[in-house]
Amino acid sequence: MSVSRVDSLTLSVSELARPTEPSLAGPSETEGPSTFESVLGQAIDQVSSMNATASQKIDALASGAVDDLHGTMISMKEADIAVKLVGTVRNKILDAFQELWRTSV
Amino acid sequence: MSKPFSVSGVFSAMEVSASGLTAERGRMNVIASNLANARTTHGADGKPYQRLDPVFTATEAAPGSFDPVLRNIREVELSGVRTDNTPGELVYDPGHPDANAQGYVQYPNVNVVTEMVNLMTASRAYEAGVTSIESLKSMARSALKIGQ
Amino acid sequence: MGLLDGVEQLRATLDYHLARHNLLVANLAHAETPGFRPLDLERTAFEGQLHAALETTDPGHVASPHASVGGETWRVVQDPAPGSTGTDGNGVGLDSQAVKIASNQLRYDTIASLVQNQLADLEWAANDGKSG
Repeated sequence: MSVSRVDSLTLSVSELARPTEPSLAGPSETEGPSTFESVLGQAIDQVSSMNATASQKIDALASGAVDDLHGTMISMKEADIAVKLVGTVRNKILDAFQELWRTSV
Repeated sequence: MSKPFSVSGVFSAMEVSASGLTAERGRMNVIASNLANARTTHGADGKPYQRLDPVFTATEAAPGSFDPVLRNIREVELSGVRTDNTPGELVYDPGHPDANAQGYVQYPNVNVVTEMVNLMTASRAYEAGVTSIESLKSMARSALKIGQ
Repeated sequence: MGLLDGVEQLRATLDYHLARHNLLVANLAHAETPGFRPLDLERTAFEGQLHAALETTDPGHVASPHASVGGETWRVVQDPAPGSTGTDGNGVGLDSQAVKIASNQLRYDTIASLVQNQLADLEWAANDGKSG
């Protein structure tokens, strides 16, 4: 359900602000300490599954199998938002990294 | 439903509305036939015209649909016409070519006033069906705006 | 919590109004069908699964296809005798059905507009304050 996915997305994002805490509150946590890679990887997985849902719905609508207009539109937009969120978070992180490089040594 | 809809959405509603429009239009045709033949004392079969009544039936709902709402939705169909066999009025007119041995002419059992009232009802029902379709178009437009 | 909870709740509401519209529009189409009684769609929010088990004894009860959100039940009901039935048993009042159709459409349009607004806001936030 897309609700829990964006939910975990934002939780993953907020986890980055607390790097000392090893546990992730995502739905598929298996590893111990969280790395930047695993957090972002999970977020991207969630985004791609939301995109898959949206694509499925669009296909069903286009082929005439269902006529769920508002549902398809909502799923589309939700996937859109998730993608943009990840993109924005990635940019912020990169900016932060670059600042760090500049100040070191 | 003739189309394989699996959920009750905008298109299924439009199909139902359209079936109503077709049925009302068919009804208006039957009424027009009655009005046109209101004074036909001698038809192709030699008998005076008998007025017709449209027969409306509900067609099968979406067979095997999982949607509980869709199962309750039926399209309407003008499945045929029924002849009204009540006799019309007899008018004494011995000079009329269709007068019987006693000098009476059998006229069709068409009451023009009744037919006109029926026509107005059918027309109003048709208009209401058109408004239904317009409402569905508005809803579809609102749904599409979400994706903007 | 959950950014999209509000939107998901509204999505279920849109589903309800669209399903209801199907029934109302069918009522109008059957304005002349002998013996036809107009239908409507009720919905009740409920708490807990126990209530759901009790509700399903009545054949008129149907579970909402989206019962997972907020636990709604939908029920197809026959309009209680709307005053006059014609001599052929038809109970459809053209004007009352037309009014229901107009008001249901208005609700759908309004909620769709709300959804569009909420999603646009979320998109704006996800874009870090820029639009598009």
